[in-house]
This record gives sequence, structure tokens and C-alpha cells, in this order.
Amino acid sequence: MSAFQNSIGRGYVVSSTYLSIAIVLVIFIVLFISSYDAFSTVGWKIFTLEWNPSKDKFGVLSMIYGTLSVTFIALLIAMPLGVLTAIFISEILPEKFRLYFKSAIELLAGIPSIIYGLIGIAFFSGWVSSLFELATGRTILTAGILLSIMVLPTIITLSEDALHNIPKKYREVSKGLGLYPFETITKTLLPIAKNDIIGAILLALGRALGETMAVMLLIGSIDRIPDPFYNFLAPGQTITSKLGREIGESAFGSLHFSALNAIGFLLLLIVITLTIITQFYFKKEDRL
Amino acid sequence: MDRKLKNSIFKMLIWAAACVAIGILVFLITVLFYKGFQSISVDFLISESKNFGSEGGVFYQIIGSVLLTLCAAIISFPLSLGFAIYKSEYVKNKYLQNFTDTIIYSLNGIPSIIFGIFGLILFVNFFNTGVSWFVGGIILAIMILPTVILSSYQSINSIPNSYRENALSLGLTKWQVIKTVIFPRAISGGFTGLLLGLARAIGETAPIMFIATAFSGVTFPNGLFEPVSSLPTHILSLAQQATNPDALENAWGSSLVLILLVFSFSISAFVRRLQYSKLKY
Amino acid sequence: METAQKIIENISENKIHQHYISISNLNVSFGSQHILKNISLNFQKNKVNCIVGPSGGGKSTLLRSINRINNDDYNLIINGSILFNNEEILIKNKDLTKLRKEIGMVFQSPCVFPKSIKENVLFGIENHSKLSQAEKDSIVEENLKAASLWDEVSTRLNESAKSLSIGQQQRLCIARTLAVKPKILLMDEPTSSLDPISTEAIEVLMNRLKAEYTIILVTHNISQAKRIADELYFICEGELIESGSKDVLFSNPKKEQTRTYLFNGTCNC
Repeated sequence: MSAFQNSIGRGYVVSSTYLSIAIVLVIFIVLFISSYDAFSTVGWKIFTLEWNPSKDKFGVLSMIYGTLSVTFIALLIAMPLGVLTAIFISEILPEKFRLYFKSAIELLAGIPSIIYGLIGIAFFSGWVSSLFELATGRTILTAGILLSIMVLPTIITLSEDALHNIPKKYREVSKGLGLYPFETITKTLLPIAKNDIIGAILLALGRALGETMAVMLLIGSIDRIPDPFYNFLAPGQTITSKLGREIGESAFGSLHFSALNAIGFLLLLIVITLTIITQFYFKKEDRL
Repeated sequence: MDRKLKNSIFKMLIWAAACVAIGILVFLITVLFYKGFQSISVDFLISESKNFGSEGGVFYQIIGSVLLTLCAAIISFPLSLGFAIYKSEYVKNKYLQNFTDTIIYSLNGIPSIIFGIFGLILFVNFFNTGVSWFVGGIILAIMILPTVILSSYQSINSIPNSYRENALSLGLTKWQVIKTVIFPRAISGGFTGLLLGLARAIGETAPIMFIATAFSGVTFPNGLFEPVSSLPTHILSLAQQATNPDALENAWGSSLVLILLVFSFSISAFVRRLQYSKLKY
Repeated sequence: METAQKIIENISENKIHQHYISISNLNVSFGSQHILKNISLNFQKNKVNCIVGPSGGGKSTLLRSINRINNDDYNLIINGSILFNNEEILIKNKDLTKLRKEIGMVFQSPCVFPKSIKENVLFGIENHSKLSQAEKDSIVEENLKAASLWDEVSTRLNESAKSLSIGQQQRLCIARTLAVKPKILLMDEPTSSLDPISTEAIEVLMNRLKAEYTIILVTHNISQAKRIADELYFICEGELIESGSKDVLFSNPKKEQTRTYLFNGTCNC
């Protein structure tokens, strides 16, 4: 009986593991197969500007540009804001408030992205359009700002963990040597926590690249690289917003559908590579 | 520059950043709760939506969201426990350990819209299920697998090896050891992970908007392969009609309901984590 | 299987009965680390067989090979032969569950499960056979008595085992092991984490238990070996330096290393 149970049990755990592994592989395979049409037909022309399904033109450069610029803005804001706030929580805030503060931030991280999108539409786009006197507030900048708020909790939480985990003795030694608090932080603590903070930022980068709903509602969804290219006050398009807007409208099996899959596949490769690098980076690096 | 001055500037920067962060936090919470409570009522919760959602309530949206998450939970929980136990109790090889890690991390890194596309191709079109809440549940289950697996794995892994050896030395078979020593912990840790996973799953729009939901006119599904409506997709359709003040008001109401559901999951997960962090095996 | 049988044929009948556990040419390594080198020895039935030696010398590895609790350890390579009651232990498809029922083990630091005292005693046996409530009660009482713990806990059997002192927990672990009805008790420094009074209680217990069980005890405490050992095995740096009855080894050891270790506590091997 117990030998029987033993093999049933083993069967259960083995099959759930293999099933999960199979799922991941199937996701890759399915996406690859359905983007294969586009890769073989469009080929390198996929890296051009014009996207026009009725003329069989599928250039994705403007979406890649949109994804990169939105992510760039998001990190430009969230990185300093996040790390400084992490320093605040870890080094200035009294210990007894720390947990409350962090819990609040973790709750913030749990707000669904569609709700961020709603807030963006109701407030941010209006603010941006009146501040810069634009016809529409749905711009790359608006999406970037909103995205920065969305990745902020990731950066704060993980950077704060990194700082908080540094043993007290380093602070005491630093203080004992007559360093100012800011010198303790920049010269002692940040170098120690550096790797973990970079990890946090990489993780945030992965999230920003893959974020869909909020960006889709706020970026304006126009396949164009603004002129000049750093004019973030113009509408744009990201890979994810393109997918969100068009995949429902394209016919299954068409070249259009396949081309959309192809950019999805590209995004998948980029984000997965980034995630795997980040996770192993986190793991390998030996802390004090 | 003088060191003391630098110190003060740095301190000011930190305080400024903290104020901005707190400001954002307060702004978001206030807006969501203030606007939400203004447009929410008992009637809103128990009546169906009318006129593309700009009138009426969100009863069937709540039902749909609950159905989707329940389905996701039922599918992903046993799968995750099995994976976590296999990884911790059977995989001794370092390379295999790394491989399972990579699988979990990859799954965790996949953008949510990709899950939606995957479900659309494989289930809705290839298996020809049509738009179905059951498929949505499967996709959400896959999406939260890593969260549940990791949480369960961590709690199993924190059991000292001596417990396994003691149980083995009493002549228990491997599965009996798992059943008596490992399983209770795996379930408890996995459940915390499940709550965190569901908190994420219930708010997701991108994975389900093509495969599981219809925007209006949907009530109870009559079978596995029928669409439902859900809170996040409902908010999406309302947000797209944001110029209509009635739609916007209902969007705030739906958002509050969704937020409260999300928070109830994540807060129970926090509480469980706090309780268990005090408890030593 | 074949080699095992050959070895069995080579050993005369009466020797097996006398020795009960007979180890020959045992080599154990973890990866490239050679822990035990060519160990050959016999453990005597109904005696306290005491393995002494400095820490890190391979005593625990030897003990953990006898019930193959190290079977799943990463990178373990184990060669040679261990015969228990005529049967080879080190064969590939040995029923380890059955083996461990017959060869019980008590570990260095007590490890009670987060359950009640009663449930802890029943933890192993319950998985082997269906028991009625009356049988359970009698098993609990019998084995707690055997482990000299009954008087202290008889009124609070349903309390958490974690509420016991460390010394009591260790005796609870012994009771739990006895409940499975093993023939041999492996004890891996069972008193090293205990205070002197609990240590004495367990030493008295071991002396009493040897009438029914064969005890194999690992200790690095030489005075403990002197107090309770019958047979002594001195292992150092993975090699068996000398073995024999306690009195012989303490009065007239053949090897210089044994003398140094037993009298000065230092090891020059």
C-alpha cells in the first residue's frame, strides 16, 4: 500500500512539474509558429517605419521607439525617486513606521494597471495638455510619467530591502570615523547595496517594457516617431499598446495577425532575457 | 563644496523624494476611495450594467471576476504544490535546479498581454473554444503559477533537513515523509502565495480581454465555453468612454470594488506572512 | 546482489550471529572528498558499541551509512559491504523503509514535530500499521516508560512537544524511535546538546536498553565512552585505528594514537 502511495505521489509531483515546464515551452513554440509567417514574408523589412496592414506593410520601428522612450522616461523619474525614498525609509524613518510604510507601498504595487490607466485618463492627460498647451494630453510623456508611478513600488521595496539588510556595524564604523550621514550613505551603504539596487531597476525595467493597459490608454496610439525624436509631447505607440489595440481586430491566420505576433514574440524574448539575467544576477551575487 | 552643505542638500533631496512618494500614495488612495465611494451603493453592487456600463451596476462583472479567479486558483494550486515539492524534495541535481528556476523566472517575466495572445491562438482559435471564461481561468492560472510555486517552495525549503531525516529514520517512505512533514507546510506557504497571485490575477485585463470576456450584455455563463464580463475589462470599456461623465463615475465605482477585492486578497496574504514569520518550525 | 551473496558465503554462520552488524571495506566519499577509508569492523549484539574519535573524523558518516539515511545526500559515493543479520544493506534496491524500521536512529539534537507529545510518540508507528485507540494508548505509555519519560509527562500527553525541555525532547525522540520496535539503535552524539543531568538520564537509559537492543553510539566525549561503552571503536581521519572491548582499549591499547586520544583527548593521526 505504502509503495503504491509512494509511486502515486511521485507521479503527481513529477507530472505537475513536467506540465508546468511544458506550458512554458508551448507558449514559446505557439508564439514562434504564429509569427513565423511574418518573419518569413516581411523579413528584415519589419524594421521599417510604415505599418499598414492593407498594403501588407509591417514596420515596427515606431513601436520599438515608443516602448523604449516610454520606458526611458519611466526609469528617469522612478530611479532617483525610488532610490531616494528607499534611503528615506531605511535610514531616516524610525523603525516602527517602516513596516507600515512598506506595506502601504506594497499595496500600491497591487493596484491593477487598468486602474492606473483610468487615473491617467481622468487626471494626468488633462494636466499634461493644459500645462504644455496641447490639443491632447495623450502623449509619450504622459504614459511615461504614469509608468514611472507604476514601477516605483518595485524600486522602492527592493532597494529598501537591500539597504536595510546591511548590518548596523557599517553605519557605526562610518559614523565613528566622523563621516556625515550623507557620506555614510553614498560612500558606505550605496556601494554595498549597489548590486541589489541595480537588480531592482532591471526588474522594474522588465515590468515597464511589458506593461500594457495603462500605456495603451494614455499614449495616443499613433504609429509615428515624433519629429524631433525627443519630442515626448507627441502621441506614440508601444509594442504592447499596438498589441492591445489591434490583435482583436486582426483576422486569425492573416499576415496582419502574424505580424502582431511577431512583435509580441520580440517583446517576449527581450523581457524574458532581461528577467532571467536579473534573477540569476540576484542569486549569484553574494551579500555580506 | 563644503561637506556640511552637501549633507544638507542631500538630506533635503531625500525628504523631497519621500514627500513626492507619499504624495503619490496619498493622491492615489484618496482619489480611488473618494471618487469610488461617491459612485458606489448597494444597488450598484447588485444590479446589472446598462447602456454599455454607463448606467446600472456591476453585479455580473463581480460574478465574472470571482469565477475567473476561482477557476485560476483551483487549477494553479495543485499544480504549484506538485512543482514545489518536486523541486525541493526530488531534484538534487544542481543543473536541474537551475533549469526549474529558469522556467519559473521565465514564466514570471512573460508580459501579461503575451498570455492573452497565447490563449487567443491556442485555445480560442486552435482548439476552437471561442471566447470562454474557462480559458481565461486557465490562462490566469498559468500566470500566477510562479508566485504560488515560489511561496510554497520557500516554506518547504525552510523546514530543516533534520525533520526529513528523523521521519525517514522512523521507517517512513518518502511519500509518507512528504505527506506528514512537507505537505502541511507546502499548503500553508502555497496558500499565502495563492492569495498574492489572486490579488494580481483579479486585476489583470490584458490576458483576458481577448479570450474570456465580452464587454456588455453578458449574465451567468451557461457552460465552460461562454464569455463572462469582468471588473477590469468593464473599467477598460468605461475608460474608453471617459468623455461621458456617467461612464466615468461608474468606472470609479467599479475601480473601488476591484481595489477592495485586490486588497482583501493581498492584505490577508500579508497577515498570514506576518503570523508565520513569527512561527518557527 | 551477486557480490553480496559471495560475501555472505565467505563469512561463517556463527560469526554473523555474534556480530549482528558486520562492515567490511567500507569506503564513503562526497564527491572528491574521501570521508571513510576501508573500514572493516563488527558491532556486537546487545552491547553498547561506542564509536569515538575527533570531530570531522567520519564517525557520523559511518553511523549514517548503517541505516542509509544518507542515501539521498548529494554526490555520495559508497562502496563496500555492510551486513545486517546476514543481509547486505548496500544493495541498490534495498527496501530502505524496512531497513530503517529495524535500525532506528536518534540524532544529535532532538527534533520533535510540531505536534502533541502523544502524536510524536506515535509518529512513526502510525504510518506502519493501523492502530486502535487502546493500542495507541498502550504504545505511548509503554515507550515513554521505556525512555524514562512517563513519570514526567503522563499528565500532559496532549500538550505540544515543544513545551518540553531539550533533555525531555531527546528522550521523547528515543521513545518515538523505540515505538517502531527496531532491533538496533543508532545514536549520533545524543547528549551533546544536553545539560549534565539530562545526559546522565540518557546514559542510564542506554545501559538499561542494551538488554533488548543493540546500541551503536557515536560520541566525542571520552568520559562518556568510559562510563557506558562495552565495545570501543576509535576512528580518526576516516580510518579505523583500533577496536576492542572498552577495558582492553582503556588499559592496554595496541596503538600509540589510541592511547594519546583516550588519555589526552588529542589526536596525532
